Amino acid sequence: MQRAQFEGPHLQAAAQDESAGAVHTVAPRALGLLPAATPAYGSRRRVRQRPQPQTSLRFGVLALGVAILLFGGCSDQPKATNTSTGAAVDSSVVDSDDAAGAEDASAIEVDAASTDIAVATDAEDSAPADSDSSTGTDATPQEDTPIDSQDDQAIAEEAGQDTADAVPDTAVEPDTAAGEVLDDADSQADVDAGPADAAAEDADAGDAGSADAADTVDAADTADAAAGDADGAGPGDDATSKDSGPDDPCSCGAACNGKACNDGSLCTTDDKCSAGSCAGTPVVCANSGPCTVGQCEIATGSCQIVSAKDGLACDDGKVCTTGDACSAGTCAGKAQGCDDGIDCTFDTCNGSGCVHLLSTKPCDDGDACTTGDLCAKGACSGLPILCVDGSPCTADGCDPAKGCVFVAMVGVACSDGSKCTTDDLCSGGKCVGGPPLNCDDGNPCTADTCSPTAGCNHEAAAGACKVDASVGTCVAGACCVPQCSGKACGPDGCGGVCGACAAGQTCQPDGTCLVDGCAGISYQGCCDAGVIKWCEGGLAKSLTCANAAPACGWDAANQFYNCVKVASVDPSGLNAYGCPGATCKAAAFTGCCAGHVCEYDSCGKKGAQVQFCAFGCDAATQKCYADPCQGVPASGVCAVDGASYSYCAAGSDGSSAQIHTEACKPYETCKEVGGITSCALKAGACEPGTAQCTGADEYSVCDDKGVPTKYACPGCKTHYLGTSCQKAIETTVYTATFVYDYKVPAGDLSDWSASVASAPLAFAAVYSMHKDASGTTLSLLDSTYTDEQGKFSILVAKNPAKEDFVAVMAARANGSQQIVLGVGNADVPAGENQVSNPVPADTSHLWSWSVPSSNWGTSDSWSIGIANGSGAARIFSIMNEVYGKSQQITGKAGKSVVAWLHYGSTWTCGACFGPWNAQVNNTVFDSQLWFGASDADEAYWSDAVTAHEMGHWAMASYGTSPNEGGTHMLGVPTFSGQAWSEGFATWHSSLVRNSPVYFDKQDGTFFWFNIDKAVYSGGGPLIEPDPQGDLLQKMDENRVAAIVWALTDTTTVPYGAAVNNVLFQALTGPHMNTAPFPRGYKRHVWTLDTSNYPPVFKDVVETSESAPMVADFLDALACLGVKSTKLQAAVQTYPFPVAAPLCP
Amino acid sequence: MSKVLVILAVVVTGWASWLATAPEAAATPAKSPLKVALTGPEKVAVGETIAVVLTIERMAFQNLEVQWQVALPAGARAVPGEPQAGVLPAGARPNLVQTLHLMVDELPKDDLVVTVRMAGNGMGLQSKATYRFGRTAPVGPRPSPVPVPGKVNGKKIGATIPLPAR
Repeated sequence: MQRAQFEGPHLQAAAQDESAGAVHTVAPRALGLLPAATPAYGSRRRVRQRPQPQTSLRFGVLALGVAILLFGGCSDQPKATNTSTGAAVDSSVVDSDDAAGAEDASAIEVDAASTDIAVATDAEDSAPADSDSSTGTDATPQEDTPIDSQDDQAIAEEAGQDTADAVPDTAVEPDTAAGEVLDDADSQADVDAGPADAAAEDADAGDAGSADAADTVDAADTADAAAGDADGAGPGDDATSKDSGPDDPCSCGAACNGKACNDGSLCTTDDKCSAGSCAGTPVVCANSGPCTVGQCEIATGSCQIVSAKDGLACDDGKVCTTGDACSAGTCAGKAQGCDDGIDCTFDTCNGSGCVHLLSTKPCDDGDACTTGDLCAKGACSGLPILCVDGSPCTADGCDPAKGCVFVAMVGVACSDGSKCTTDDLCSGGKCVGGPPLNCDDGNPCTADTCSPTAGCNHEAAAGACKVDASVGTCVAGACCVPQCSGKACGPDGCGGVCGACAAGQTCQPDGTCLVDGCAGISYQGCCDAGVIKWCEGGLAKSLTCANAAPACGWDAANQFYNCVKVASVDPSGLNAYGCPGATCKAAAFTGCCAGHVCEYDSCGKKGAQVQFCAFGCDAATQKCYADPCQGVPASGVCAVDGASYSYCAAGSDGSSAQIHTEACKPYETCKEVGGITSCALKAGACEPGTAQCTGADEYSVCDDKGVPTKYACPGCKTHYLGTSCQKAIETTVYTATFVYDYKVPAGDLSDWSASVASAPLAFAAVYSMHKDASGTTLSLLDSTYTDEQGKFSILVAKNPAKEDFVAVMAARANGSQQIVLGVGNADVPAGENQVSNPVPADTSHLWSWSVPSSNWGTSDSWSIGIANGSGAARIFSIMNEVYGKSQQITGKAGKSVVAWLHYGSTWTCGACFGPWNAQVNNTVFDSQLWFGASDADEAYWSDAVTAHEMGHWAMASYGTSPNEGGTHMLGVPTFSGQAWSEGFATWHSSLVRNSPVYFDKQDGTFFWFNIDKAVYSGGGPLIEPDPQGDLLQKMDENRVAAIVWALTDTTTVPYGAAVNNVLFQALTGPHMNTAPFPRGYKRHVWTLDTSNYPPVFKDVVETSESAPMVADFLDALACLGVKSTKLQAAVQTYPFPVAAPLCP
Repeated sequence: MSKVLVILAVVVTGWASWLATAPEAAATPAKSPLKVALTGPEKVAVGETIAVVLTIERMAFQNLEVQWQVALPAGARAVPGEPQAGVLPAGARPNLVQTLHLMVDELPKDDLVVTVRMAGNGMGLQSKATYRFGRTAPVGPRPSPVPVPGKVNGKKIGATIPLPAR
């Protein structure tokens, strides 16, 4: 299986400004991932043009150039108008194959409904007819006279003539009395009048024996008409009066040649004597289509249109049909089979003929040693399977016919899987354990055991022990010797006491017993309803707790009861909380204890640990905060003075969402627009540094305080990135192209390919900088953006300064000259950097590549090589495509976003997305991406990761994130919110790239997985949901991705396919954006301990915050009309009730 | 809410805090299930025997075995009996530490490369760990932007990378 690779550039479908109605150049995308508008495959079949339909019956019968064989002399027009129906008529000759011409051996009969015509093109049939001299037809061999009837018609139409008039004059040469052959199978219909044609025409006579003889104009009829039918019984008698007898003008023989006469046929004109016989030119009757024949009715001389015989080959004008044949006067064919026999093409027929689109569907390459076979570039191939049976005692190999083979080995060191054996060896293909492992640690206070899975275990044991010569007691796995020297009472240091005081005495801190008046209360004291009581120097003392330390509790630092903030008890249990004789009251105190909500009775007995304070403990109230952002919504809230706003967004390591606060600039104030809070310009203020044309030669420039001022500006022009006064500078147009180099994964998905590909840097901002003679700095002269081919045209100074340059920037602007997407070159040190530290705004900049004026004339194509940082261009291309297409699908712009990339630097998160603000120079972005650029990984080539992170961006821009971030691992099912957001992002990555294969390189390891295969462990499935479990169970994030992928239309262009738009519709609709979410999932917080496998989820807390997850998404799809059968097929074992979705 | 307003009041006091401190990122791609390292002495002399340590950490997919294989460069050879390849069995302890003893006959010009692979039906991993016999690791591209004294739309451009003449 060869994964789909990007061979072409990623381009935008349209470069449409975000401003309402403002559209720059709309250019179709030519994304290498997506099929181009014009099929890459499929021959351009010649399209035949059909004859124009007749528009007039009167003229139509004579219209088209179908040669008709008639007999006798006639004037230019039929000499009689007998319109009796059912009369015998002469026939046309139709040759279905002009290549064969009149010598075509096929005999074709044109069968009209009631006026059938026998048409013969069989030269053999013509033999008897050739001798039929009674027709008087001039059968003199003529040069074939090819006539393009359609051309004639077209010419006639162009000349404003009536088609019917044009044809008789041009369709038939005067001497083609023998008839013509019309190639109806080709628009280049040639009308032949050769001898063979004549023979074919004459074959009518001999064709009487044909199967359709009864309906055929037989030779007798024809002969009758031609010969005048001596008995006078034929219809021709009434129709014409043939010259004959003494009055025959042709009776003078050759001397009468050319003399007008009447041959007795109404189907000839211009009758003239020739060698004593009278003959005329046959009337030409037109047909009206490939399955009709125009024919002259002998009795009347009028033309009629009759249907051609069923089965006659014809052309219905449709390139997607074949075997076209006439049926009841209509030409139709069967759907053309376009199967090219290649399994890896999608064969279809469109208006241009067969098209064979490349498929990326699964296939079988017939090699048992490959797997994951997929179509790529029209061929089926797979990746080599790794033949691993997991046994160290077999030699693993692969047979292309059989697949994996495993040969047993003997005597090889191995592991039998038990940690309690040593020196294991292979025997008979299996691993056999050796001598048992010695687990004795020599500690008398541990019980030594061995577990096959965990190995040696040393559990603490009780009992006596010795330290040197001293006898002690085992405590927590160690030998403890009591320290009671000089002490009569008090702790012995080993969990016991050195002795007890006599009645009426209390134990003092130094271990002595004193007679006291403390009624049994010790020096460590006790608590009684907020009062500390203790014994000191034999005297009873007490203190009421209040103010900063309102509670009576154990003071761990001093090891006695004291006034503290939060009540607690002596964890050793040696000193009771309640004072002797006090009556305990239940739940006298509830408050936060070390981040937990705990209950104690008035005697200090610890009750239930109510819950963990997920969002912290309010020290003032001793209550947990109710939500992570303490009431600040995700949509934000303005400060009272409008000078800033705050919003809630997920953060940190997944433990909590956080409040983010953004200060507005002095010329801004906080506003809420469409439910979203942000800083906006104050009334009358402007964005500093911007300029807008206010007239043809005037513009308004905004100073750094946001105050606009008008200035003269000759030739003011507002363009993509800014405004400039172009009339003041003599300019010329510079046209060139920017492309960039990039890498794709190697074919075996083991690393990046060694070869380098190239693609246009499409839809990127281009700007022209100029320094005039008096200036010291460069100023913007013009700006634009590249088209899908990376091409641009921009104004430059005709006489440029040496500092002038034209540059392309990894940035996209909206229609208001604001950059809304960019790739920033972060000014951070080499090595790993904390994502939590903001990237320096003033010293970082957006990636751009420039062509100095001195090089303008040297090339019209500029390549950004790998050494020039083309990784930034690659990331920009992917991001820009997602941004543009997302806007196109949803109809609105997403969050502005900047991606940070600095060669030689990495980030603590590897690569990640954060929905909070960032700044590059003076440009502020709503969200950020971080991409590592270590030399070992070159991770900027991972389109899969870029598109994955842009999936998070899409969810943050158009949907609702569950805000469950943090560490997650392949093969480890996680909480529903995180599984949803990560699964969605991975699906988004596949959608963007039109490939189910995800790939990345981290810490030198290249890895991949295929969400379409939905397997990634030894042939087994990924971690499947429990079909008996509930909807909120932990999920493998890639199962979520696979579910959505199964609902994706992968047979057409991913973006824009209707079914895929439904997926976005569900994401952006109210179902997935209105809390509380129907399935009732609530955001969890946890920490993931990866020191063990499988990793352990710790400190798990379900918050009160409603969060979306995959079942909500499936509900949304079902409510939008996605069929339950399709949903069921997608969810696999996930117990989503497809028949009972939750719909509003 | 009063607590929130207190926070806001603090934040809006100056431009220095215009951008809030970013929290840790929320959304990251899945972590690689495998980590591989190859370490050895920083200096190598001809004629000596060195120990290079291969460390493999299998962080997920414990049911898949990990295969490793050594590719020795010219000038270095393994001590007789030293393994050239091996397997971290499925289901075994997730970490492998393997010491490779090599004799250096002459200073290799190429790297010692250990290829580590793990694969399932719908996924795969490959890592190539290298030991360079004391040589400095090659440095990848470091594009050098040149500051530009100009502004676009009133905003600093920052710097740009001149493309070489063609």
